[in-house]
Amino acid sequence: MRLLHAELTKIRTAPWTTVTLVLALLAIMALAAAGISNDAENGITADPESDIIDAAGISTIFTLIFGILIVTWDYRHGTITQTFLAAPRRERVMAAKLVTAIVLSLVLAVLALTLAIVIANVWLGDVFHFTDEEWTQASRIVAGAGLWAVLGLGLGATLQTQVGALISALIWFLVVEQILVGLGSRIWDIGYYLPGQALTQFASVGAPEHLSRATALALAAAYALGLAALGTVMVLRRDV
Amino acid sequence: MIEVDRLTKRFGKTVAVDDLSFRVAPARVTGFLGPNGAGKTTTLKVILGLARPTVGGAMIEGKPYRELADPLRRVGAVLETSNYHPGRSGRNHLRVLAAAAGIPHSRVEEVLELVAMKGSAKRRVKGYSLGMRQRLGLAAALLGDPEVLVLDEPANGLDPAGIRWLRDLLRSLASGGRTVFVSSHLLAEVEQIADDVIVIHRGKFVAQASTAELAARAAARVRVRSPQAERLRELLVAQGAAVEPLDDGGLAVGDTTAEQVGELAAANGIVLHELSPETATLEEAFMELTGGETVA
Repeated sequence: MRLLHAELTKIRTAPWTTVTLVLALLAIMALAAAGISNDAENGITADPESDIIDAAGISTIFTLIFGILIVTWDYRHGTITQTFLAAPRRERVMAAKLVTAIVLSLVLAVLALTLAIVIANVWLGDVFHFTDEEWTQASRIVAGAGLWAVLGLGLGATLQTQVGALISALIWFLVVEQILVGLGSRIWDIGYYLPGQALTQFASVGAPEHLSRATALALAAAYALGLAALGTVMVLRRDV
Repeated sequence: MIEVDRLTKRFGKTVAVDDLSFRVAPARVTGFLGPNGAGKTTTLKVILGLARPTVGGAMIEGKPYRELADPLRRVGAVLETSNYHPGRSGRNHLRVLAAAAGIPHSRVEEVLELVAMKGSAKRRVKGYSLGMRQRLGLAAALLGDPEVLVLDEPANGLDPAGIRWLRDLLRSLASGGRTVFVSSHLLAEVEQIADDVIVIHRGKFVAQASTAELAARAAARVRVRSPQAERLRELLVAQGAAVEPLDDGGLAVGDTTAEQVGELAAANGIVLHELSPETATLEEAFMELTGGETVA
């Protein structure tokens, strides 16, 4: 509990990075919701509910970054020494960071989705209405955001450099995975089994391209927890 | 009590610390002296559980750091590599540590008072001078009112008044029975601050002694001038003293005392124009011990 309190105190007392992330996400969601509502009003889209959920998928990028930051800012600013002096059992520090990353990411995703829903509701009135299926889709987006945060935390802990982890994430998810997916059946569709694709297929609004939802979830969770475990081992082993 | 036992730390092929053993006793300020790159910080990091030893290890009050319950209440540390989030205030930096260690906020205010930082505590660390950062580091080390203090170059960036303040603070902590272990690459600093000195060089143990003893250990010489220098030299050599001629025609006499030289001269009717014992400084002692490699 102390370490959770310490992690939250770190965020509260140097809040600008976190605040920037939250505000950027909320601004994007507000714009997306307004755009979608406008399209729905003008008959450009028939299904603003799905569009809103789809747009909320953007929050996963932010929670990925947040997961990376929660580990790497301690390394970047050299505060990791003091963190480990106060808590030499580093696995406990990692556990506190994991819980913080998951909880705050879920909150962030819910906040983003709620803002979009409220805007669309105000704009479109009763026409805008979530079905049970759509609520399920929305909850998958939120759960996916949590998993992306775990993936980010694992990546950050493995590499331990902030810039390195952010750039690696960018290159891997936006370039490497896209190329491998693009190669499709020529490389036995392995692209669809990569971490980013597994997560996308788990949380996608439309039917997943290759895997079943359950398989995608299991695979995504395995990647996220596996990378977090690898990162924890690296944090335990490496001198600071 | 800090015990380092047969500690070796290698980084690839580089041996940073080589089979190092020593003990740091409580109720004294012990200096940890060595040139830059001698392995001081690496040794401190192993003591504090931040780096893993390749061989051997270190204990604080009989336990490795990683096994201490409530470590901040047992050991306070400032490392050179310790740093701060530039956007966090000094007070909030301490509050993060206090949260991690379960220490109440009131204690944060106490240590801020102790290091005379109350006035600048709400400013961001970004604007702190090196001296203020050192004070904040000390405040962090004192947060848990620990029995053992491990400080890496704490006098860096302090002005003379700051060093005096630091010395008084460390002395009062040690006189309360605490173990205070302070590294430095500056001899003058250690001479001012420490009761005992542990000297290392290239990762190896060189010497451990009280500061005064160590200085005395450097060949203390007697400087003597006489119009009968040649006669005196013969008598001194016959007595087994080491005699070297000085540029001004005087003699530097080792392995003896001023009293012995004076008595020898009197007994043989030799006139002396000068007879002065030269007290070696820690600097000279250190040069002697490390084979002439200077420190700072």
